[in-house]
Amino acid sequence: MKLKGIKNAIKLKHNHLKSFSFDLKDYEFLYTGSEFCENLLEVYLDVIDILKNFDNKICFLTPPVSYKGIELCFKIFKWLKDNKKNEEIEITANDFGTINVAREVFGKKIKINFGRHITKHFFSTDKTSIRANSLDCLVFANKMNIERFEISSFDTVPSHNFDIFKKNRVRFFFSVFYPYVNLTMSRNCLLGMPDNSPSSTIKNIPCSKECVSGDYCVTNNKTRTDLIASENSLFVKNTSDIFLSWKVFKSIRADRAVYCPFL
Amino acid sequence: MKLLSCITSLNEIIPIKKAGADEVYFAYEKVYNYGNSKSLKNLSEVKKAVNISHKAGMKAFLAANDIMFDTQNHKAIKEIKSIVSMGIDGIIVSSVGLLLKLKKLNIKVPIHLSSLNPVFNIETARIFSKFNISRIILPNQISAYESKDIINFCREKKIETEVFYFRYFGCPYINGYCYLHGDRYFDLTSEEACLCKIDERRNNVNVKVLNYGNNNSIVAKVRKRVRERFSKGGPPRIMTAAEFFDFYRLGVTHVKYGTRTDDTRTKIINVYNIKKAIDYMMNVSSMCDYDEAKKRFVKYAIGNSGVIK
Repeated sequence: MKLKGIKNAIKLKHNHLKSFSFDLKDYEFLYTGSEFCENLLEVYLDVIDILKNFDNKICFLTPPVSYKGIELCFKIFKWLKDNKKNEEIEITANDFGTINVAREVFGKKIKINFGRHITKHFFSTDKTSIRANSLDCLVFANKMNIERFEISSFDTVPSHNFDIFKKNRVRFFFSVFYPYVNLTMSRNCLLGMPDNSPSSTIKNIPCSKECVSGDYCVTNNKTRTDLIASENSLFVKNTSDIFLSWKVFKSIRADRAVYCPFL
Repeated sequence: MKLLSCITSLNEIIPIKKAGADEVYFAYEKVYNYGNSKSLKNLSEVKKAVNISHKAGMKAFLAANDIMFDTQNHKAIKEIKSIVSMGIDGIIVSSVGLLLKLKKLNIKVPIHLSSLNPVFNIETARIFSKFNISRIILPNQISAYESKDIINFCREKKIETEVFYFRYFGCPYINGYCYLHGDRYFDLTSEEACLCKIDERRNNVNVKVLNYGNNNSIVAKVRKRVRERFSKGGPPRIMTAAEFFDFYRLGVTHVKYGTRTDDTRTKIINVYNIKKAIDYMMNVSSMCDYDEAKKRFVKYAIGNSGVIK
């Protein structure tokens, strides 16, 4: 799926990187990596050589990270630095700490985006609106040399409060992921981590990566909308296509669409 | 280990002190705070809260910990300035915008970095240590072992560290960035319905498999697990009695009781129980080796009935 008039990207997971047979030439960027779960960074590190086969620019997605994820990010970034040119790479950070690691490996010029999880610190969204939380938040992002924020899509043409920034020189653009909307994530997850007893302590989240075998649609009597449990996160599917036009994208400073066929 | 408790009215301060709290914090309704629930109503109450706490020998802190803190709301910033001039001992902050604003305005007050802006690694601690942070409140979605470097870093930088007591706060999701509260993206079946505290019956939850992988036995197992967990309140918690003990042994300086929505009696009982648990933990740690002390503490903490004798 591709939108006219804006830059298009596609997000693929590790298993699709290995088996994907579609033509990706319509997509400027290939988004891959573990957007929300640090345990899955290991899986991407294992298959990272596959990225040599893609000519698309790469945006590597990273999750919130503990010390373990910091080490994995370091290794992945090193590989990207050694195998791709800086201008062919973007890094998406969902943890402030990852920014330090990326700058250390690539230097100051690497493009870093705030991912869908941490963007909630800067912008609040719902089905019909997007609001910047404060001018100072965006100043903070710009001071870190970050201008691009990743968000999920909307049901309609969203309202916004960006007029308040007319007099202020803050820079921000959006990449919009569709059709799935990320609601929340946990480090210990619905799908994978075994139950723990009051006497148990852990070094890392014990994970046998069972989540890679499937995603799960949860219907329940509290919501009229089905929820989707995938990896360590919960999503809803946005079935509206009203938002998916370049004019609407432009109205909220979105200039890149990231199609996520597999969540 | 010192004990910090929330208060939501002036008449809670002294009983909570007597129950064992060393410090208190409160929210004030004109300063954005997480959940915007149960706050002091006016500056006169805030001033009294600070004074009563100080007279009782306790520090008092203000929760200004809404991620969405609108720093262009001059009234809210003015209120913070007034509260600082009243002698508040620190402000609990999560928004990077507010951190920057306080720095720009040269408002000199110790800052506790809220767990709503979670520090999961030492690099994040490094970034925020540049903002006059006097304490980092660790999120309860990280284990003691995973926090080791952060705690050591904080010790070196003379930054205090704080954790939640495992029994009274247990959100498994990264709660500062969680959209399960309310109905931003999904329609709830009733106004009371809440996905945050699911408490469902299993037969009210159905789980279908999407995007099949190639291992059917794992898929069936996980499907069952998702149904079970979704019915019972979400993913498993990391913070256990044993983790709490490890945080203590690693040198975490403070523990927080922060359920502002609890009634006064519950707050007092819970503070009392946490204080007793800390005393017990310190006591067994001085008498036994690490493994034995931990075992005894877990037994004590789980067996505690929660009733003041």
